[in-house]
Amino acid sequence: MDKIDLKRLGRKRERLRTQGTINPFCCACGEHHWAVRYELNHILGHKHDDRVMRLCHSCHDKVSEMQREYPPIPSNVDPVVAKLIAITRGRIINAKLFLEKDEELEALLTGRLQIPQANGDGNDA
Amino acid sequence: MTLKVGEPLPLVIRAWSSEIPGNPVAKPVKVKRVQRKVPPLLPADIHLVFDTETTTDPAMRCRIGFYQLHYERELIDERLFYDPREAFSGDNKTIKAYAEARRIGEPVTLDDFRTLFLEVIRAGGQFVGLNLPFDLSRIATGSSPTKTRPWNKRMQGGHSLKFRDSSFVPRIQIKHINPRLALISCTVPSQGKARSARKRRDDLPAERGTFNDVRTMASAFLSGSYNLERLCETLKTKTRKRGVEDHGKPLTFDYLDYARHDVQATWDCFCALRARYQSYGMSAPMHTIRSEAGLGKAMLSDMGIKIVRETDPAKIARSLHSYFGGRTEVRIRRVPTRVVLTDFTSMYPTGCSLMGLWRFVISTNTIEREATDEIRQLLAETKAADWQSQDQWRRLTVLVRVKCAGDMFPVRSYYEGEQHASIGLNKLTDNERTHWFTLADCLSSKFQSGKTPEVVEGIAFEPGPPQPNLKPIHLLGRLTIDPYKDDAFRELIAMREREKLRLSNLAGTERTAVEEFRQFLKILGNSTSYGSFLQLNITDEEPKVRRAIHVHGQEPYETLVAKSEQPGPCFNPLLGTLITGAARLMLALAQLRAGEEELGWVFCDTDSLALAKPSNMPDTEFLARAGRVSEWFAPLNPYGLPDSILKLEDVNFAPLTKRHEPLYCYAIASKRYALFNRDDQGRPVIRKASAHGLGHMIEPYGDDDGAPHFPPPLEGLKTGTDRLARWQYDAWYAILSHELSDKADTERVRFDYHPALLQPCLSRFSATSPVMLRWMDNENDGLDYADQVKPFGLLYCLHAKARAPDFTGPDARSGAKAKDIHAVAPFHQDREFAIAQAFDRITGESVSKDQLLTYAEMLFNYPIRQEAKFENGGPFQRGPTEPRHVLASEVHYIGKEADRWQEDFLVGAGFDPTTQFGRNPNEDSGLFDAIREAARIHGQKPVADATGLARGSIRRICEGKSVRTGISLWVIRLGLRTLATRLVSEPAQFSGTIRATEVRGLSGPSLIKPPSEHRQSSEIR
Repeated sequence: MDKIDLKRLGRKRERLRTQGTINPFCCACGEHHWAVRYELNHILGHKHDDRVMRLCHSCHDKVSEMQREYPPIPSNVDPVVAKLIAITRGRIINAKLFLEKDEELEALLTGRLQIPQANGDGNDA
Repeated sequence: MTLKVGEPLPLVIRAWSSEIPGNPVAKPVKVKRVQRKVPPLLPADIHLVFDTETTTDPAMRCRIGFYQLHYERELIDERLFYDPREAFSGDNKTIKAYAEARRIGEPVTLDDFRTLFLEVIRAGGQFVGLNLPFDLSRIATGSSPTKTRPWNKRMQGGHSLKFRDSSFVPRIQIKHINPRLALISCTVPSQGKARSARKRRDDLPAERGTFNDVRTMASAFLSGSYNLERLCETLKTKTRKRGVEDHGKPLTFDYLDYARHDVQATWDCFCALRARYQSYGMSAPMHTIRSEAGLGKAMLSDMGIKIVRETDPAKIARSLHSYFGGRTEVRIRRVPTRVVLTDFTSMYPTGCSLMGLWRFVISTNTIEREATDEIRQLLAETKAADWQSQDQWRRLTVLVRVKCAGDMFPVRSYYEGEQHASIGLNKLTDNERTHWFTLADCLSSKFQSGKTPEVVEGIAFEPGPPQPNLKPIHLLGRLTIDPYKDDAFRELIAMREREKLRLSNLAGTERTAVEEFRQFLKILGNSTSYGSFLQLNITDEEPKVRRAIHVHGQEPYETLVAKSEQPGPCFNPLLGTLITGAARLMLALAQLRAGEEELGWVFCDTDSLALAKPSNMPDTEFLARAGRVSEWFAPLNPYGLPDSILKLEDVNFAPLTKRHEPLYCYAIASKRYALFNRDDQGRPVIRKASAHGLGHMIEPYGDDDGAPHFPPPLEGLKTGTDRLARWQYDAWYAILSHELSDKADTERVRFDYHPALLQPCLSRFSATSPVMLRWMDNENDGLDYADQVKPFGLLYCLHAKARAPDFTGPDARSGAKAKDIHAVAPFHQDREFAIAQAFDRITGESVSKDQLLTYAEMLFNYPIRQEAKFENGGPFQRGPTEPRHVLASEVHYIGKEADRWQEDFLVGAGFDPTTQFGRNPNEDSGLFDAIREAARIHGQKPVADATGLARGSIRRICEGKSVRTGISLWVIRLGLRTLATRLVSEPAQFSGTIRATEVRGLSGPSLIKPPSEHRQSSEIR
């Protein structure tokens, strides 16, 4: 009979419990290891829209950094216009993030980048 | 003024309780961030199945156990665990040798097993066992009652077990619901959330654990009560339960094999039940199905149906006012009678189908309209023959408010000598109030008494438009039900009936598959058509809480309640009351038809009716007439089949030849009857007998040690749903033999045919609640948890003889009644030893053997159990019972009826299983002023004479003070009315002088208060 590491399964369960799913993955880079810290990013800004997407912490950090490049929206701007600005910024940031990954994927597919070998020690969600 | 002649009894009516509106609401917590609601994870595919074997002393400590750990459907670890402190000399060696010989993992200690147990909880695994509460309490290290907190209401009144002395480790809470179901859940320990989650205030679901009790699963998927042996037989598992006699002795390989096989058998049963559930095609996770009703709710949920819940408490109270359960009555008592037993096919689904209640289930709302004149006309003109038409039954979705004047209605009351309120179809007169009944009950009343009830108000209900986005379901891949096009009640039972026709051509696995499918359809049909609509979850409140009690037509009143009620997800009392009303109408029509064929009936039990042959009628004529009664119901078959819905049961036919065999019935009281044939010598051959009133007693002797001169029971009584323990069979055989002899009227039945019946009678129960465990406080005092009688540990309840009054002791002068003994004893395998340890759980004094009733003494009164609901139902009376004429004296309000009757019976009147709401004080508020006014007009002495109150009490009332009295308030009102009528020309007429002492009903002091002391209804608004 093969043994299982219950303690490890317990840690994994605890991580997955905070995510509310047994199959978390990053919508930007595709990371899907259970031990990675995932966060929910409000796509269009939490003040303007409730919709979220799950990102790994490093992609979320990049998104946060890109958001800081924009100046804050002045308070005297019409609320409808402010929302439109936030929506547009959110879409630009997401597009930039996905573009980065798409460029990497394009490079892999065209051979400009070597495809890394699978090491067999990875995700077992 | 002429007063109706009748027997004054209090009416007991269902009411609705709610939180008191206007209570201050806790200040909402200001949340800086938006709370993220995280969906819960499904249980992991890790299963820990285990079982323990215990010592045989009262503590029942865990000696050894076995566990299997399965991961992703593969067995990855199997070991024995043991408590080193319980080892006999040589046990350690035996354990090690056994593990080597059987090639299982090295044995671990009980403490190591606890570590594994906690790791499985953390990993989100599932636990499997049979009677998990018992096993969990064996491996725990301590217990306490669950804390009473607002967030813990569901588990209030349960046990909390701990496994480690650390607040970071979850405890297991167990709340016993009934013998087949316990709620089991882990607590959330301190630091249960990660710091980041706490900072964000994420609404994370707690890890509550998943506990699969195979006994609960069996009850839900197979219906009925199962032990491991019977479950293995039913599911035909590879591993079966073994017998063993070596408990409490040094360990042997045989004993360890037995324990190991128990775990394997439990796992096999779990897998079989899981496979069965998965074949149903339902999406609800299996661990959420805890009862048959759970299956019904899962089906509705898969269709996307949300049962519309009424929110107006007055309307809920109106529906509950009219609600009564199925009729269970005896008409010919203690006379062996030739019968034909008939049974309605799926009574509740049939009623739902005929009334078209599925339209209500899928509707977005229920529309009510005033229909008083229409109902009056219907009742005046209708005849029984009209109700042979299916279309007519669609008109039954009506509630009627009636002024009762000798009409036959279900009457719930405390009939003479009864501890609990029971329901009997009796004549009811109420001069002061009106009552709600279903239209079906009004029709039953008219057909049975010939008198049309006086309708004050009629409300007809119609379904609103159907809910959007409902989906069809596919059950077992064989039955598709579209909620918009199909009536689910009808489709389920119709499919079941069609499958029945196929059975005769099938054998082997095909036949088994069809039988399983039919059973599933039956459970689904029955559970969706009744139980869920009346589900109320009861929470014990300690201390009592104040609730508003709603009664239709009156202002709500406040009272302290010991139990609060929360409605289940499908709670719809209107549907529940319509369904049971229709069932009673079916029975009434069957009885009416029987009467037209000059047949009587012996008993009815919700959906079955035993038709009785008159003594001078030939048997062939009787069968022909019974057949006509059955055929009358053929047009009412809603399943597209030509058969009648009133069928002759299999018990009417010989087991082997399937030919009609004369069947007899001997009925003692509701649910206490036996059905038998007679052999060539006229001796009874029991075909079916109820264990009602016997099931709480532990068997005095085994099935293989029956009464020496009694014939053995038929095979059909040894297994299956009609199974009767040998000692119960012997008891019935003794009763029937006696009643068929010439000594029936001169002697009582003797229960001395077996020496074991001369021993003290024992009832076994387990300490399912902290209250019951506290009875063992004296035994447990000063002991470690391991040595204590633990939660869910077994206890014995013994039945003490009534104490004679003490004329010489210190209580003699006060005339205090001698207190009853409530004898209990801790469990011991040796019953004699246990009996010797018996003590009174109230006083702590020991109880000797000669103070205890034997089995023979307990059984002595069984054959003469009274049917107090009816006239001529006294212990020694025989023959036809007659409806009583009940004169409503006052009204008591209750919530959900007895859900713990067994505990109540076993432990005496310490528990009140019914949710009590007491009397409405507003009904009594006018009495104070009425007495004062009467005293002003007539003088204090005449008022005292008329009402039975003392003159001093009248004086106090005139001074504006409260008075406590033992006289029924109804008698006082009656007396006042008498005085008032003496001023007019028509004197009141009585059937005799009514003295307070002659009034039956609840005794107990009443409080007559000035109106200013009553709670004002405006406080409740």
